[in-house]
Amino acid sequence: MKILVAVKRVIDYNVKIRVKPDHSDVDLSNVKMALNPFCEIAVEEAVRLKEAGVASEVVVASIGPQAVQEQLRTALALGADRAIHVDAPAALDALVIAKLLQAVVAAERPGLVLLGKQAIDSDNNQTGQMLAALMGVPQGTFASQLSVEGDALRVTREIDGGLETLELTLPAVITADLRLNEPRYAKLPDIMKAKKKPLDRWTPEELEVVVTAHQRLLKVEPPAERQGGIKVSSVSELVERLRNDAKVIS
Amino acid sequence: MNFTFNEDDIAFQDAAHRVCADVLKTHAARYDETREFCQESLRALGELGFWSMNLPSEYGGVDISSIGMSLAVEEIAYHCAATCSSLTAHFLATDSVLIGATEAQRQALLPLCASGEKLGAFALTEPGAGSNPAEMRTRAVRTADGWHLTGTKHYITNGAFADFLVVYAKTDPDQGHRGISAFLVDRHTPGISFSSPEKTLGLRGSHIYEIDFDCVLPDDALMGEEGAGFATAMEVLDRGRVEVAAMSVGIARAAYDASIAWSKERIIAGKPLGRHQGIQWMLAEMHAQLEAARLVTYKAADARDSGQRFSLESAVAKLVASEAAAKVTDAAVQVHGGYGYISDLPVERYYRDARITRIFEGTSEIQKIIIGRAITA
Amino acid sequence: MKLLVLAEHHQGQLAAATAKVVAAARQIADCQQDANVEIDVLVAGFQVTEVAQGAAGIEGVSRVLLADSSVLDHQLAEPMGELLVTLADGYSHVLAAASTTGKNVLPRLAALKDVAQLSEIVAVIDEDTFKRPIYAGNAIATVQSLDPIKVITVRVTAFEAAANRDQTAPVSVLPVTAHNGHSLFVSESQAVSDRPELGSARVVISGGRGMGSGDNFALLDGIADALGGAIGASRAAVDAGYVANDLQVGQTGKIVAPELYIAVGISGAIQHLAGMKDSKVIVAINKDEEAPIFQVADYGLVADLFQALPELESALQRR
Repeated sequence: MKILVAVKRVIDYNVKIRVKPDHSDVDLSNVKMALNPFCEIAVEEAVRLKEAGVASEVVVASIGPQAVQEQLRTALALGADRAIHVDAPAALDALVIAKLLQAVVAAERPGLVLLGKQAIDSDNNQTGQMLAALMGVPQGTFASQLSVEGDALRVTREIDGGLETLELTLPAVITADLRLNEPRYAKLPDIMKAKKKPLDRWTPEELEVVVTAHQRLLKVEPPAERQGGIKVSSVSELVERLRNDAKVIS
Repeated sequence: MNFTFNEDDIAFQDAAHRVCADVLKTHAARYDETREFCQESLRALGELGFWSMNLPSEYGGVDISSIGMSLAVEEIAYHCAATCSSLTAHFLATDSVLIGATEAQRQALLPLCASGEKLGAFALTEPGAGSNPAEMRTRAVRTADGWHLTGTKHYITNGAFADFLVVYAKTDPDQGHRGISAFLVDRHTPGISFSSPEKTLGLRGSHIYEIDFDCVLPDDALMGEEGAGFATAMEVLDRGRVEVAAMSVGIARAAYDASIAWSKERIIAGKPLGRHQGIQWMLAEMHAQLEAARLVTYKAADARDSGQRFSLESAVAKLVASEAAAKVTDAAVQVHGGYGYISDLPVERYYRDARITRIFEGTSEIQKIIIGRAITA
Repeated sequence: MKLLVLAEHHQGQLAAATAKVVAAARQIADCQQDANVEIDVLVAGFQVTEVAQGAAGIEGVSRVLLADSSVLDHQLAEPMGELLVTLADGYSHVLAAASTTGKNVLPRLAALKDVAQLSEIVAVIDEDTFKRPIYAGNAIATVQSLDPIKVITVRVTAFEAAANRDQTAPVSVLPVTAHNGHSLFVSESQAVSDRPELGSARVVISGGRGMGSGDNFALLDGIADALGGAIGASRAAVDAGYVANDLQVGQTGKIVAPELYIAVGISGAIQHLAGMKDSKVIVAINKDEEAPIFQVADYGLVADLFQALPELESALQRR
């Protein structure tokens, strides 16, 4: 079985973001970029499925400008076999990303598509679900456990307040949650070897996908700062205020 | 002039960042507090191939550029300077083998050092011969049983934790520095005794030892040619100084980043600390010093890759970067005020860890001698 | 103007989130001076008649659509998506709570209608324009939809629930033609805890590194129980190994917005503030009066937590 993993280049999760002074967007100049953490978990899961003999090939794809090749290389160093770079502008709508991925899927015919559940920049949590719908296949979102049993896939999902286990037919789309696995670190020799692995470049035109805008980003602001409150002098004053002023306890 | 890194360099920096931010960072404060040897972090780096950064691929290395290596070293020091010190000490040992050993010795030892299986120590300094190795007293005498090694080395990083030591000793005391040879010494050779680790100001997770030798080494323990030890050591130190510079940059950057974050978070007199001009001046100086240190370090790394002699560049980088680290970490404590003085926050550790960079692998004064001689020759 | 709200329900119970999504829908409707506003609520599931009756009692709801079929049991994404696609035409907006159900289902609808989705909106600007947090809430984006149908998930903590009323809206039963040959429900396990779930608790009391040890977290138990609250922790407390990672409140943990958030021994690092600063009332107990947490706290108590916590517990029990 071939696995396709879609990954996104995002700001490194350790970086504190800054909104541009003109409020047009977040300032991404000179900040450290990285593989989206959830995407990294998806790559790790695919590589583990290959190591377990379930998958025969792991293909990793990313959509964006030239720079996304850095993250593709990271994925190759982590164990993916080859990479596909769809050369397109950054920050496309998730729907367009899903359409581009659908076209990649049509060309590659993977048995399973793995994605991260959301990107830590746009926080959309949509692409996997949209791709599954466009492909007409089932989805296992927010996966915390995954096993392939014959023609079926058993996936445990993190749902509000608990876990849910589903059985899906293949092909299917899975989106990775935090607890699916703990990704390995790239080894330096593998980083060098990754350079020699195949990396194909496609364009939206070649994939016959029209890139359109469905949303317009009007403004980006820092979150409102809270105003500080008052200091209370004792526990009894605190309880009294919570009860009578704030009315949050009875 | 091109101030951008190539994709390999960025990939190495990235790889280092990931493991350091996750693993090294979690142990760094504990190592400092308990003086536990940084074994866990060092091993984690070894498994991922970081012990091989200074070696070419024929000996198990990854053919990384010196710039890429500097970026990785900086990243390691940023998160745990003690681990960085132990790793760069390992590089001094393996650089010695790479530069001075026979091909057979290199083939036998270096791949194991690259893969993280054998840790090295570099034993040059003696109680009576620090800045001037030519004054060393350690002797190696050829006997019927092999080389009889006697003497004392001190401040030897990794010491008792190392699997092998590169020991510099006089084989011909009448020849001055030309009478110095290097030996590959198995740590378990009978007749070697280690002190307990020294109680150091900083880098407490990276142990340094005094080591007494009264042992017999096999004939093939002689590393490369007799009398070539001093030249090897000097070349090794040229390389090592670039790494100390990168390490200094890493510590300085950690202190700088902590200070910037603090200056935004901490509210004094109704506004963030960083909005007060007095603090801004301190931060601005820190920024400028860090930037200067970074640039001379990358320049020295670039010179190291050029294949030309780079003693001058590496001395400048070491001098500028280590002095910058001292100033930046000192300022970081000041910016933090009382919080900078207590160990709840890492800045006091950065301050202590930075101090040795002005001393080891040639004090700042030695660097000035190297620079002074080069520019007046 | 017609808006469709997907009802949130679990185990035959209408979830409180539904009334909050209805409130968001009403805000959108209010943007347009259109007397003919209709807000329909879709209750989809199996044996959910009671849920539909509950939804009919929410203020502002025009009609409840009841899709009750075994194929919709557990609200699996595939048949739910199919059902929504058949209904969406004629609606300008389709909304659901940004719950794991809403997030699972709605993007499928959006893709099949060839429209984008607006995820986790926190404010309505006009019928096309919304605010939503990005970068884990470190920035707020104002986004305008250019699509004919706006598919929206709603961060329910940002909206006041629509009230209940005595008069109920009519319930129309829909024929369900959706089928499902792709996904099969196997099992579900709810996290067993007497305390409410951290993400939806009305009260959260969190401990930080100042707690000193994992054992000391027991000091929070009695207070949490007295207030019917959940227990959380700062990342520093998790990193120090005091408590498990799933208690973590913050940028990299859970994002909570309870009515009352009590931070104990938490300094107030930015990463923690990102996870709780939308709470309605914040109380901070810390012995360091300079701790940044006090800058966001409505009520700050500078005190040794080892004295303050037992005192607070007995004060709450005494009432």
